[in-house]
Amino acid sequence: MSPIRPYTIRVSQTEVDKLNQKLALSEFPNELEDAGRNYGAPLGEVKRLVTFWKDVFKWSVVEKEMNKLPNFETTIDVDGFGPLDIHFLHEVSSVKTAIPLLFVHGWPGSFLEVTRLLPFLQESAKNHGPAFHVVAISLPNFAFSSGVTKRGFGLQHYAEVCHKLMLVLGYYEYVTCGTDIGSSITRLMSKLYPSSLKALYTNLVPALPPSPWSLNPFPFLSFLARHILNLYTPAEKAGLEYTRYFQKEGMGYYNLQTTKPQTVSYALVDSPVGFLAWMWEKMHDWTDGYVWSDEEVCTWVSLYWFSRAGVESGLRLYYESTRGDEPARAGGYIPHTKLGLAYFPREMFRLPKAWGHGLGNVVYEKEHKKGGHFAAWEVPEAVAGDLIAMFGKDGGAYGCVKGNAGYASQPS
Amino acid sequence: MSPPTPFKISIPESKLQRLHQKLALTDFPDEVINTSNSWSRGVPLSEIKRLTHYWQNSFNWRSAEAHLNTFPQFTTPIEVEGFGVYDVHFIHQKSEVENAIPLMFLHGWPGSFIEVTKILPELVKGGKEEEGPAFDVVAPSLIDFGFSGASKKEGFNVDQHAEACHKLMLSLGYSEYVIQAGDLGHLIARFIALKYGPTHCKATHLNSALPAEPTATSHPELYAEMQKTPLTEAEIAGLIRTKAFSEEGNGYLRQQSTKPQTLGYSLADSPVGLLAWLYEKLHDWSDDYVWSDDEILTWVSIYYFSTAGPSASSNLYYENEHRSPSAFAAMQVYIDVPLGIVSFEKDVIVLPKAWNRTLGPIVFESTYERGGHFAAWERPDAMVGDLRGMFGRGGGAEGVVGRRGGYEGL
Repeated sequence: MSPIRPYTIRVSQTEVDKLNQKLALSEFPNELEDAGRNYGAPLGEVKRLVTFWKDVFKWSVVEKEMNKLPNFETTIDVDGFGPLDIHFLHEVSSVKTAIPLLFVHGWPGSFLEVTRLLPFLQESAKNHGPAFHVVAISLPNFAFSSGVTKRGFGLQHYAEVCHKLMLVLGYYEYVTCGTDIGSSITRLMSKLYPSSLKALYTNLVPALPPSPWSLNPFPFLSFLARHILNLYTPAEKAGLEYTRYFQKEGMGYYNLQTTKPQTVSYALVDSPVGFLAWMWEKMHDWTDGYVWSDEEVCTWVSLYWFSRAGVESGLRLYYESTRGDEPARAGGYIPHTKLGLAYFPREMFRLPKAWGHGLGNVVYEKEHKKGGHFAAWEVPEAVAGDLIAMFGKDGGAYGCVKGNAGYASQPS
Repeated sequence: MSPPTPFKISIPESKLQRLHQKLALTDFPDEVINTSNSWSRGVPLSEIKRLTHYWQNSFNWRSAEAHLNTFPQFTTPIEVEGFGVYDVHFIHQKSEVENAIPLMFLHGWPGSFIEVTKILPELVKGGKEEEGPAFDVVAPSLIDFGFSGASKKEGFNVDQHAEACHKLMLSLGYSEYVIQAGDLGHLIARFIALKYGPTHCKATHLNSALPAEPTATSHPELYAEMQKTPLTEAEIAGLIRTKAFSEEGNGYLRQQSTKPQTLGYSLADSPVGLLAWLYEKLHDWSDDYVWSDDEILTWVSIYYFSTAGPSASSNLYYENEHRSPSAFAAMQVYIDVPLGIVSFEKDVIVLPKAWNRTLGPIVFESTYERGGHFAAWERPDAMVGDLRGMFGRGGGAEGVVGRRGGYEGL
């Protein structure tokens, strides 16, 4: 088994200089008068961010801060794809029997998203709440992990890497917190590794309406009644409306990345402005009035720009996730793994809570009044609060990991 | 009305220098290889690398520019109601035949006015009985494309494009005219026929038609007839092509019709990014047409050096989709203006022939096994043949333009 090695992020000065060279030659498009945000990221914002990125933002300072985090690297073998170097954060709790928690990011997120949760989880450990050993992986093709250029590296392979990482760290049973495509990956992990993945928490709930063909007719009849009689709560109605709107207006990137990722990659790899706009539009639109600082935006974008496998490799997952043996699926009941579902108002799909019950054994459910797709970043206290409640002594997933219930002395 | 201003394309040297500066700094992505279908995820890396190298070291824009300038070009101000006055760029070549038929050619995306240049020299000829009719040819750059001005305002929709093109013909003294168009141009042509036909727009000849499927409720007679006639093999193949497009090939459309500005930053800032974006379609939408590197780079350069910038060309996609009803839906109504439909079996969307009858009175119809989306570029012979057939002696649209039949003498 490959050893765990401490990892130091070191982006070369050559790369930083090249970025600045390109930024200095930026050509901007025009913009329609009074376009607002309807047509995409507004010109004024993009120009401001680019100026900041070029003239104010210092990657070396950001890198130094990132290197204060517990960064590690290990090599994981995936059958048919070879050994992959995997970067991850690993924060070990002082509570030995803390719950092993794997945080799985998505696009355009990263391992960084977990860092806002850490203070709240540490606080919990001090205040008689459950403690966690936190692992935040950089998925293959992202940040400082290896890229995969061989075709067919699908969701099941991402799941395999995540699972093997936890095993390598000695966590044979663990829980997950997944966001964006991390939600699909952790759902698949619960299907493939049911004896290891004991509980799963996500804010992107891939539910479907109840099926008329399931053995228990009640959920479907209830769905019909509520649908016909329009009995959804105001929050659920608003959620359905937003889901429809998002499907219509917000899925262009998805349609493109799942069909012709190589074509769009030429532009995104060659133009830092183009790539910044591509990411920034989503960072803004997918959050709930979150005020991003220019520093935050440039940090997130730089993490992709300076990633080991390049900006284009983060798109591959989209293409693969709609094909092959394990495409991303909505719906489907997966037994055994306990589910914690969080509903944030500005998540991409906001479906009625009853539909989520069709996904598995839901032991925790919370409807939040604020927050969006990057919930752990926008409202970390809320997400941490969910995890603490879900895994705490009164929580539905308490004690699900044998011997690691999260408390210093196990209850008798 | 003042006459149009003669125009010659003359891209400033500074723009060329900037282009070369950027090309020299190009970063290329890695690639996932699919040996059985190297274009499945988009343009292969080897193609883009070759083209970038050629663009940097060999491609001669001035030479391409000079060739384009052999066609008589003009600009003229056209007022569009509620939006303002726009500079419209166009080729205008009159036939030597006095009664030549006024024909407007409308390009699409990722095409341009260049698409007329293979058929134009033939179209202005003729005029003798045995040769077929002669045409005066007008080929504008659509607003937001080529060397026409930028739309600048939200809501500049297909209706506004139709108005601008129609007024262009009027400004040239052509109160009655016919249209040949495909892709976005065909959409605009349908609206011109709807709004200005048959008084002004006397007939349209369209490739890439997009009729709605007749149903028992929408077109009961046609539907009943269709039940009796099975689809041909070619029609089934066409539906399969259409399905493939909607599953794998319309990402560009979904992006351009929802977030064109976001995409625009990339297209404006990365010449190689723009090249890939356009070249994917030049390849995928044509029928084994062997594009020379010069052709590809000329087509791409027209976008790169366009007056409104490469980002603006996506705007119409957004507007079409956000129009209520959508432009695509609105132009599927029956428009009572003589209609010619040409179908190329290797086009992107190929729908059963019977569906075309929902669009208008079909006076001319043709099908070609060879040829794809860029009909006038890939099959200029077919297009010239069609137009002569449709508008010439014995053709379904013979003499539609009253006093301009296209032949010498009366």
